[in-house]
Amino acid sequence: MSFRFNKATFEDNSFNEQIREKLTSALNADANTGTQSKSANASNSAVTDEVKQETNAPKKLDILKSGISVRKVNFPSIPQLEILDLDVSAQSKSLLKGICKISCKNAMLEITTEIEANLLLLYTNNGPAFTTPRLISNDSFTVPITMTFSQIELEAITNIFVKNTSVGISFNDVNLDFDFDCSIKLLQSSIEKRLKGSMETVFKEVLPSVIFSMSQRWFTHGEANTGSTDESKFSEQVSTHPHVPRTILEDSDLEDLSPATMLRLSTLVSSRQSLSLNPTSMNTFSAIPGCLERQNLHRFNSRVPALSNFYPAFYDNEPPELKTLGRSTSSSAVIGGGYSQQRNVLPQRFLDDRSYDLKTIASVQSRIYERSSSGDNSNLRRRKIKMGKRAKPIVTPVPQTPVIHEEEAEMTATVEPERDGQTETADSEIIHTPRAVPATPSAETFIVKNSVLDDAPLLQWPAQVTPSVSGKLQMSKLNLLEEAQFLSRKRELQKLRSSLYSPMRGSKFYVTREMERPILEHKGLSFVGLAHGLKAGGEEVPPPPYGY
Amino acid sequence: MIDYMQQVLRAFESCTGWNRDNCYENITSTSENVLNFKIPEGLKCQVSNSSTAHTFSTFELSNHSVINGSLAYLYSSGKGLDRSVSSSGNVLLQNAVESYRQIQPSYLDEASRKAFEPSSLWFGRMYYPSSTLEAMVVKRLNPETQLVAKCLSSLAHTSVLTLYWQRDSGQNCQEWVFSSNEALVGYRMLHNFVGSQSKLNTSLYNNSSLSLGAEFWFGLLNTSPACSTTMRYSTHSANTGRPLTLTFSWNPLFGHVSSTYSVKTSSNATISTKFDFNLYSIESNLSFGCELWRSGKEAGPNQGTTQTASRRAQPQLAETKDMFYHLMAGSSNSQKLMEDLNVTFASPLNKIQKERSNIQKFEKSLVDSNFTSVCKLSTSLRDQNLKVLWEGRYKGFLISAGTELTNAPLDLPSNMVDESKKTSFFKPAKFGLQLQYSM
Repeated sequence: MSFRFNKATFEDNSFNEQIREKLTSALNADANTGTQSKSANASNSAVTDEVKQETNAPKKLDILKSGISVRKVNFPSIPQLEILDLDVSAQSKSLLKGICKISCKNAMLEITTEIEANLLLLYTNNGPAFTTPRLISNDSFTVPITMTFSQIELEAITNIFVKNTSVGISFNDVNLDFDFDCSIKLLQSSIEKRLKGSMETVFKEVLPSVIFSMSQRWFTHGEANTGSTDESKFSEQVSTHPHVPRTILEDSDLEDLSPATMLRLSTLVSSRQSLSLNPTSMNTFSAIPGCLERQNLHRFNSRVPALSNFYPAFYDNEPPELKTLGRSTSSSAVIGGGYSQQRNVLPQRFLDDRSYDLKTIASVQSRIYERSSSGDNSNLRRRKIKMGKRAKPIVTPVPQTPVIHEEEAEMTATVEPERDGQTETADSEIIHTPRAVPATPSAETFIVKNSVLDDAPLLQWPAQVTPSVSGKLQMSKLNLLEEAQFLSRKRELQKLRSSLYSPMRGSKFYVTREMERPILEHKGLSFVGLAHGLKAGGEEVPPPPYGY
Repeated sequence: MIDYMQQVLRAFESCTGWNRDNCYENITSTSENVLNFKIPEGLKCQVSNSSTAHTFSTFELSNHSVINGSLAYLYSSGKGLDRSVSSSGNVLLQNAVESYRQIQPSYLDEASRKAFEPSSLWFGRMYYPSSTLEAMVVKRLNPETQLVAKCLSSLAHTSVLTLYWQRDSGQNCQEWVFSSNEALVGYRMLHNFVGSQSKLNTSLYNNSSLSLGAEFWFGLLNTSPACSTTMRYSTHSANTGRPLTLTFSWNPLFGHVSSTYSVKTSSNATISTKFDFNLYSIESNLSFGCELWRSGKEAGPNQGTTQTASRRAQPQLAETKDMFYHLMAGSSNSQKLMEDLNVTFASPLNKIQKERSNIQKFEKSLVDSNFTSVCKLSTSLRDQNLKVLWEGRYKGFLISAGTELTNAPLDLPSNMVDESKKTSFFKPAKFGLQLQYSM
């Protein structure tokens, strides 16, 4: 992934002219303290300024007799910005974290100024008149000096952190090379040595601080940060750190952004945000509380307890068709249509292979239930009733399911009222429907459904299905039994889990996350930063929005 | 305007037979006084007094940015100092103002050599509220040598000590200087060519003098050198008796050449020009300055007597010594030779008399004229400035008021000026008024 600069900007000479003007104004704004501008080349010249003062004046003597003027700037090739890694919302407060490679080749820069060659004049002028002897014919002798930087090649790896309040940049691996030519050959070697020496401070301290302070003005999210306080802060910063140059990139630098581009960008940003999940919750994936960004949806979904999450090969094969069972995931109402939903269904493949683990399924189901019921007591009560109902069928369903296959015609009638009742209750409580029972033995419920809804295929069905299914039935019986047993134990677990899953206790989530991690990796998420965030920032990652 | 303390110092030097003009530092002072005069800044009041014959004190108040002032005390063991220092009401304006000075080397005769006794001068000045202390000690060790120590102690600035060791034998003046500021070491020397030069002159009467000097400086801490050499020729115009001075300076290190030409065109007007040229950078500068003296109406009888009395009190070395000095340096044979020649070469000797009388008449008119004020103007082509200074006496006060008008913006460096804007109008860079009163 990489950015491409607009070629037209570089083809005519306007870019060079613009750089030249900005450099000239930046260098002359404050001749005493070396000033920096936005580009790396600007820093070059600023450093030379600083160096000039260093070489000739241990004290604060200004040997510059004139302003610094930038004669020539030439960028024959377009600078390149390559994004090596981009991580969106790696941490709670940051919007973006990225690693970029900046490269610039074959650039040329020439600056001229005038320096005072008669140093003794400077000292005698600065000294107190009373004790300074008068020198005859000690006039100033200004020497014009031209410094040419040619073949500037810059290659830098930068870490960029975009946060809500500012942009932080750190330069990691800077490779800067240039040919230096000074009109005064006597000074060339010493200036060059000092230039290279001070390059590190420029990239390590000066440029990051300049960009940081500049970016603070772009972001107005931070309520406390009004422009004035920013400036005062910055001036404080300047006063406390004398080596930090007083450079603020001008707002006029940003005027080049066309309104059309800004509009496009804003729509892009807004399109990333969808409906509100939970307006009061702060622990969402998004920077804006209550909104879920679309790109985070897969992460959200991957954390929603569903069978398909544990057996992820599911929607490789099957088209999204099963609306009836989609209700468990409908709790995540944010998910817009058109995007693949989470279905709480075991993939056919696993059913065929029988590679599923019953305990896992049971735990998933119970979690779905708890998730839907947490914070709602009435739901708990309903579940109790269900448990009560189940208490009897714990034994009865075992004959019930065989009934479907063995004596279909008779049992349809008996099953039907049950089914109706269940569906009615389910309809009455749409939100809280736990699909624990119907979801787990999915194959069977399909059959039941089908047998209930249309009679004609019902008769045909068993004939086809029975041989294949009957083998499974023994298993499913056992499964059901086990699940029933499991459900009986659920009350104890329920208390524990409801406490575990409450969003207030982020630390205890660690347990569940460990379960999920292999899933994420198994899914082949190529976001390095995401995996990194999970591993490294364990405590900092907000708990998934289970609080609903 | 020469400060009161400076006047006392000069009086001390003249009393002890030290010629301050015979020094490389002052080799160009003739033109400097006309071209580069100092302009007071802000309002400054100075009250001075000679409390005893040996002690002098000055109180100064100024409002340069804030109101501040200074107190200065001076003690000298020299004799006759109180007679040489006159009050602001009586002092001759020519002596109270830095103006054109005809510099002639003077030679100590044996009498004054024997009469010399070592003396010293102690000076201290305390500035407040900055509490900066200036101190100076001048010691006359023997008739030819003098030791000067200047010291500055302040909170803001590092303390500086500067030592001068000067030796002046009339024909030759050597000087070693050390300043603790940047560990500056300097050597200056000045040599006066006299006597032999008269051979080149067709006129028998020769009062011209040629001096050559050089200086070498080296800052030990910053390893920056400086040097210069200067030649000065001063004479009187033969026809009118007007004095004129030419100097030529050359800085071999930075290729700086400057030549000056100063002439006193009449008793109340002086003109000086200076041309600077840099051999390396081909930069040049032309400066022009002039002095206009205004004499008041003839002094009244009372004032006239006091003034003439004071004039008489002042040692007028020039009147007697500078004529024929190259002949006086010889024996009485030359005098006899002159008398012998009188017969044979009547007309050239008449010419000498005529020239001499011309010069003396002019100098007499200069001394006798009762100047009340002087107006100085100076301008420089490169700096694009105009300096105006008016100095005069009003009711016993010596007043100095001046301003500097400049075309260039004050703070910006020179090449940025052209880019920013062309200001067509002169702006005052600084102006000030100085009042001086002493009794």
